[in-house]
Amino acid sequence: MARYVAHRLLMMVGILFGVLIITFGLSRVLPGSPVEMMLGAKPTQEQIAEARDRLGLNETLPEQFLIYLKNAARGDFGTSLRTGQPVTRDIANRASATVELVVVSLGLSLLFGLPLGVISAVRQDSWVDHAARAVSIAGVALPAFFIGMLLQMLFYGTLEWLPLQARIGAEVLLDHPFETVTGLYLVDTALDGNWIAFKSAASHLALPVLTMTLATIAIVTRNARAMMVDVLGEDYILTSRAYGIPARTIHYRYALKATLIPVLTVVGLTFGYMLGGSVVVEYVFDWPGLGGYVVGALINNDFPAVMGVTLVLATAYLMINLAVDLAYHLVDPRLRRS
Amino acid sequence: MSSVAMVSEPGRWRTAWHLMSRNPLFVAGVVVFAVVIVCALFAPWLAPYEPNAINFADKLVPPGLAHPFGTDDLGRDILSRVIHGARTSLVIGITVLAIALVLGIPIGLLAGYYGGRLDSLLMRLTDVFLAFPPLLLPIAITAALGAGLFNAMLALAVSWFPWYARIVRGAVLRVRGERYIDAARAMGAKDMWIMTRHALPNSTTPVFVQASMDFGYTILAAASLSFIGIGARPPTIEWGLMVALSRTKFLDYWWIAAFPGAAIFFTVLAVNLIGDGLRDVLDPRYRGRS
Amino acid sequence: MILLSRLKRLLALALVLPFAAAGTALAATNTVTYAHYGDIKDWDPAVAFSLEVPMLVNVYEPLLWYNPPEDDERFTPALAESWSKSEDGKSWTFNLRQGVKFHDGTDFNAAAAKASIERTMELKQGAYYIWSAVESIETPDDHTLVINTGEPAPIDLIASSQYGAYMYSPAAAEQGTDWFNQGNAAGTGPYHVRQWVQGQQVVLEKFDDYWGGWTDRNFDRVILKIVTENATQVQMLKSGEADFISLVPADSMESLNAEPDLEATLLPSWKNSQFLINVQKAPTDNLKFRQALTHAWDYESVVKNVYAGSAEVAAGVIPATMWGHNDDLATPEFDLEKAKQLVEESGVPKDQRKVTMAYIGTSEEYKNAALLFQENCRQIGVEVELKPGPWGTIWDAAKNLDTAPNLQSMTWWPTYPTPSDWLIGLFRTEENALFNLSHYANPEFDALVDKATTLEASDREEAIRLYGEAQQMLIDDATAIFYADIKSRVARRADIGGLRVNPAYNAVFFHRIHREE
Repeated sequence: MARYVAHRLLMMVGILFGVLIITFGLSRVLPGSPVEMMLGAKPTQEQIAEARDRLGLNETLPEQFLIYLKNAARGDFGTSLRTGQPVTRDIANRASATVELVVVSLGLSLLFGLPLGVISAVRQDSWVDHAARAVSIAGVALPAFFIGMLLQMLFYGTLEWLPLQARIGAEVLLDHPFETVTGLYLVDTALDGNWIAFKSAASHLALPVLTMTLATIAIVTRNARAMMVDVLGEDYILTSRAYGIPARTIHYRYALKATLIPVLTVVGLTFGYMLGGSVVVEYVFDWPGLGGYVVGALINNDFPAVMGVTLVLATAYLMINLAVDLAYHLVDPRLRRS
Repeated sequence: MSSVAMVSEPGRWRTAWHLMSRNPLFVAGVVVFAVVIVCALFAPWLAPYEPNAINFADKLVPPGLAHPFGTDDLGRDILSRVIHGARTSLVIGITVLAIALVLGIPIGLLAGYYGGRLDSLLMRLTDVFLAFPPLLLPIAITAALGAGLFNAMLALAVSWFPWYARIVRGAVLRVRGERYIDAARAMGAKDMWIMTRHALPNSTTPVFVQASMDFGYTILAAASLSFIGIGARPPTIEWGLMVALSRTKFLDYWWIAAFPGAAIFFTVLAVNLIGDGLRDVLDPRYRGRS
Repeated sequence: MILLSRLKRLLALALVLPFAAAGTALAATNTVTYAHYGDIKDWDPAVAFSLEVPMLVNVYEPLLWYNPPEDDERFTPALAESWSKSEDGKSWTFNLRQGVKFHDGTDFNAAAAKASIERTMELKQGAYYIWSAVESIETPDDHTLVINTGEPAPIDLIASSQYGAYMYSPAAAEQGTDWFNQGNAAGTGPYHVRQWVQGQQVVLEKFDDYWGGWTDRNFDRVILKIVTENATQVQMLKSGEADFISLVPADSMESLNAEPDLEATLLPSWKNSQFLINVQKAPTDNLKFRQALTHAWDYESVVKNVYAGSAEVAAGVIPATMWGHNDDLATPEFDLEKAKQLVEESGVPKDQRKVTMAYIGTSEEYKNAALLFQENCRQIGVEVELKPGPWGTIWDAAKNLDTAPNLQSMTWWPTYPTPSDWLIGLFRTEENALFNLSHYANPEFDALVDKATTLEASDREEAIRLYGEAQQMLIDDATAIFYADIKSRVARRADIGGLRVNPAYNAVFFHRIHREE
């Protein structure tokens, strides 16, 4: 086990290194000088000199990369051109909004997507199966931004049930302040017993979460179904069937248990999709997280910010996949040998 | 799988087509996609109006007889724009996949055929590209290269090629140990020749299936990039961009967002149905899995 | 255990929670919410020179306020109760209001006023240049301020500027620009800054010790919500989330007025819009080519359709309602044939008939006007590449000739009301371009404007004549497409009363408005 963990960790470090080479490469192929991209069009002489020094532009390329690595390892991604703040600070301020959005959406997506996939695998060609397949085919054909806008039209425009944008009501934040412990508004307001703020946060969260869930539930259902079909075809299930064990027991005790393990893979996959999707969804809902931040940065040619967020999200994705792999390995003894 | 190389390709395709034509979803996909292709090819003749012509007298007209899909805030006919938008979307799908294939196939061939160190090096390379959550690598690349449709397509291709490299590698690995490859080598055939004549054809089916699935995703991804402002630019007519430009008005005038959005949905849906149908028939491992 | 029971409550609530809190309609009667289209970038009142006015005029005060043009008096006393100038116009004496306190508790007095002006001048940022005529500032006593200038200068006008003339606490100034930029302020105005959530909102709250006093009708709290998209602003107004919005799409005026509890109005302003043509960058370094572009612009249609009537066709760089405007100027006519002919005459080769056009991407008007122009230019064989972006980005790009577009969107309003504000600000030669984004450099023009400026206080007629000549020169050189004198569009809840329009300031004075019962 320890050897496996070490092996996986090493691999992750290797890939992270590759990711850094790519982002470093991108920062050096820019049209125009990297300094200009880092500082905007009209920097002063001192700023240029300082930046050249910080980026090590007077050194050779490998040395520049070392400096780049050193800065990245320290969490120094430079200063955002748009906000004037260190990119790391901006990211730290906004990460919790994205985490809240992604975690709640992931939970809902799994809560509804997994059973749907499993049932449709067990009862192949039933109406549940057809419905699930329809959802999984149609769901991946709808762009997330369009889902979000349709929901805005319905729940804000027509029904007037939910707010259009933002994370919490402005007045609520002022008149019913709560202590930020986790940065997740739902948790913080609940711990505080501040139900007015909780309600505001929940109603603001509803549409972005629904959008993310609808955009990813197809992936969950599709994969859950495929895995369950695989498991149902395994020898031991067929054997159990031959022994006359009731179908219900086979399906929901043996087979489901076996699927719970690869479900972890779905979690990892869906998580990645959600990180990518958060860019679009946060933009639609003016959600103050990393995705919205990166779009704002793109529009403003804020290169350091774009690269900082890219690195952070790629790292988060790698870590989740690592965690999934390790958990997988821990749960399924058969894999330990291979 | 070795039998694959034995059965003649055309015969296999005919059987496949016969099987697929009995799948109603596949047929529906083909029909819708055919409509999209016709729109793309004959846009100037099919579109009732000049798609970029501004006519303030008729702005924000709801769908009706004169303008079946209504008009936007500059009085441009949305139906005509949606029809022209089909061109852009098809060009995007084809270009992105073409670049991805050009990058991915040689890498997969080399990795699979030579194996060893080169293989692990190339595969770690694809791992690195796959380490980015979807959309983020294209975003980072366009941030460096500058916004614009071509750069966006290039960026998408760069984040897509690893899948093809892996598929081709897998297919090559399956035939590498086969006797006829060894025989060819014994007869003094050049590596290059073996790869292109024996290894490559073996991977066409899985590559084709994957490409048919990815075609829709590339259209979606490009629309997303246009939506956040780093893809297509006016006067290019692109569905994602049309939805993006409608953002300030769609709550009051639903049709300016709804029709281009629906166009994306139906096109991608059709392509996915076709892809699913192809995969079920051509790639038996997936049969019965949705 | 407490945590557990809370979690249980949380779960129970999550299940039953009715998501029916749309507008979060909490708005107490003493709060006013204003949707502003950009965040505060520079909090330092000495530096601020952009979208900060709605904060500045409510948090800070200058010595004098400039009155709307229909008033008899030109100024309203603010921190100066009275003022006078010497015979030669080179020495101005202000008698300062007594007993005024800054938000941080420091006293406002002559020393503080002197320190404010001097610091603003020394920082050399933002609108510091308005004080450039000042030679020395004296403080004979605690509440008398004497400003001496080298040449005669309209110090009363300058002291009422909407940028660079605010009085701020010397104690705060000591902490420097960085301190301000964390969302701090210390003025004498009716509101102090309670909260700044970057990119989201600025909350101003009643300053209890305000010298102007408080009544029950005043708003105790002002929320400046930062909403960059006009559609969102409109939705917020409709749903009651905002009382006042500053970005009203021209198309929405009618539909807003159709709602009984809303009021959308056109306000006179000295704002005008133009596309500055880069005179140094090919192919617009060619005069005929530039003229062609000015004839390819559909002036009537832009004003009528893009601005839905909330603008007039401009005649030159100065708004027609501003003093000193040259009424003899003719707007180039929209004539594609003529434009085509000029393009041919220009000698610009066919494959180089391509221009870039930058504008603020969130503005519907710029976007639609640009698309219309793009389509018209296509008909005369000129390709227009659109470059929408946020102001900060396109501005930075336009300053530098290498990255500058051929056409650059600009909406100008005066720092203080004088024609020279446009002529100098937009077109006087600049070594490092700031707002002269046409990169126009004409010594003859510079001399003309400089002379007119010095004559402004002594021989107004002659100054106006020279200003007029300068305006004609800009048309002859086709330095810009001058297309619209803007009427400001604002919309508000109909129960907001007490609003008076003042084209000299792009802001609402919240202390002067109230909610009708």
